[in-house]
Amino acid sequence: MEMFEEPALPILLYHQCPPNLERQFDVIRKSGYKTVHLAEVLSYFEKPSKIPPDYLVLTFDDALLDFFDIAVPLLKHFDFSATICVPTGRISSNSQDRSLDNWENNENSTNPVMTWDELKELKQLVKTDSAALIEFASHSASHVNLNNLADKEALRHEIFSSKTELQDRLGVQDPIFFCFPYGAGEGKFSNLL
Amino acid sequence: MVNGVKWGKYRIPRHVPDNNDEEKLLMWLTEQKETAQRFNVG
Repeated sequence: MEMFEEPALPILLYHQCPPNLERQFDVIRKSGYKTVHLAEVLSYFEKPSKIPPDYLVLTFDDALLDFFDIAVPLLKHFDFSATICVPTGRISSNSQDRSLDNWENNENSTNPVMTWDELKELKQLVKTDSAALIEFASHSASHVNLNNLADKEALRHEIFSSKTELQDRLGVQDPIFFCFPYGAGEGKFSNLL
Repeated sequence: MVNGVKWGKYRIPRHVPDNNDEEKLLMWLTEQKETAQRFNVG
């Protein structure tokens, strides 16, 4: 698997919204960066040195509720776009049955996760130029460390069912981006992606 | 700290900003832009 040659596209990674998120967004704006979705840089992937130097991607992992409550209002205020990486098997159908992010290696965490209805609401949001505010990427189904899965069918389920759910439930046309849980991205499954 | 997002054969590293000090983000972004501009000359 290849890494990007320098210069890499600046991509910021968030989970829970940090207390200084608004100030971070202000730094990004004042630095002259333009937030884009990963899909907007697809054409540059064979020649990453040609990526416009002012492109930047904001990514938020795990579909936590504070993304909906805190990050989205700030994204609207700054007219920024963002990519949300969704562990689809952890998304509940209603708020009474909401999941917590107390999954593998994170047992004591109590951050609530969004519901499908909340994700559908995000899918409808647009920026001032009418482009989508939020891009959806797969973050596996159950947020398991893929390196720990021995069974190939289980691996396929984690990867492909998450993409199918994004298509079927949210109407995401082609969820080609995959964000590795725990950053565990090297291993026997690389050829599945 | 670096994490990754993957497309095809490519894996793109991601950067986790400091939760308390946005000046560190400013310094990192400045470095990124300077590097990108060096690669884009010509």
